[in-house]
Amino acid sequence: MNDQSNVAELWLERRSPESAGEGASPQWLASAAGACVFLHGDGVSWAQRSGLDANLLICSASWQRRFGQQQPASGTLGSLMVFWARALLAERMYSSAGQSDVRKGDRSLPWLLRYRGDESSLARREALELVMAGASLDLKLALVLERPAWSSFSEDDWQSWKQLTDHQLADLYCRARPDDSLPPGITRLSSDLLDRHWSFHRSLGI
Amino acid sequence: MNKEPVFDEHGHLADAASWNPALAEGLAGADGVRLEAAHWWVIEFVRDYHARYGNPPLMRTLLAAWREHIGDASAGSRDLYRLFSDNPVRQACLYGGLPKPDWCL
Repeated sequence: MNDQSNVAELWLERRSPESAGEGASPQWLASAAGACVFLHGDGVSWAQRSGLDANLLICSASWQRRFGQQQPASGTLGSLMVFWARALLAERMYSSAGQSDVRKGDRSLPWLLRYRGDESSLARREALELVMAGASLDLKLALVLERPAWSSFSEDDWQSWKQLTDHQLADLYCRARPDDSLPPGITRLSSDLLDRHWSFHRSLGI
Repeated sequence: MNKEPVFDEHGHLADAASWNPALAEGLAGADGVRLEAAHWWVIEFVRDYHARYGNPPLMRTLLAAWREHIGDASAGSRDLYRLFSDNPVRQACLYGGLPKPDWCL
């Protein structure tokens, strides 16, 4: 097992082994020695497997909701605060959500989080918790909800995510077409604005 | 005929709909807390927030609202901990008839 204090490389895994495909091996298993992998949402199911050669940190709330008091076969339980503490120190970050980390600018710029949302309703709720944990540390956050996420939101879903803007916890944007209907107070992100004009400290798919 | 309130394994009310102010006073009293106007403001804020968003507020959100409520931008979290010495949000959930927050923030 590698040294868990090493934060040169931090992976965020939110997909279950099933959604990664039968027999598929996650990229983080082949990553450099010393990488830390934070399992969150449906991704905590990876910790049911024994013998994984990785430093696994498991979101304790995500784990308990799925497996109760059962102990994980691999890894160590930790809080979302641990994830963000590591994220602040990590040299490089990667995510199973498909968009790898790009660092630009300085720490006064926001973290740019992109959320696709094509996952279970429980995991969606947990994605919001991930954002709120960063907000609780007073991090400047900008969240982009991709179309697959927000287009299937119920009224209750919208209401939950709107707490981010109602209470200045994060800026919230939706990637939407001009004819898409968005609730009041939600900012539409034109398709090319993000890539051309936005400065950010770090970008991460969640 | 009133039913006896049922509590979960964490001591929180199992059925939020059976909450009432007298129950809150009883729960707080068992912890040695006498609920006064400031306590009630916090409890009501947390209950309203939970009803609106489906989860309790972050401490920073509660603090921002508290500062606005008392008109003192310099108020700190210690003021809220004077009211609820264990954890203001969690204790407001407990006395306010809400579930124990199950997130790991």
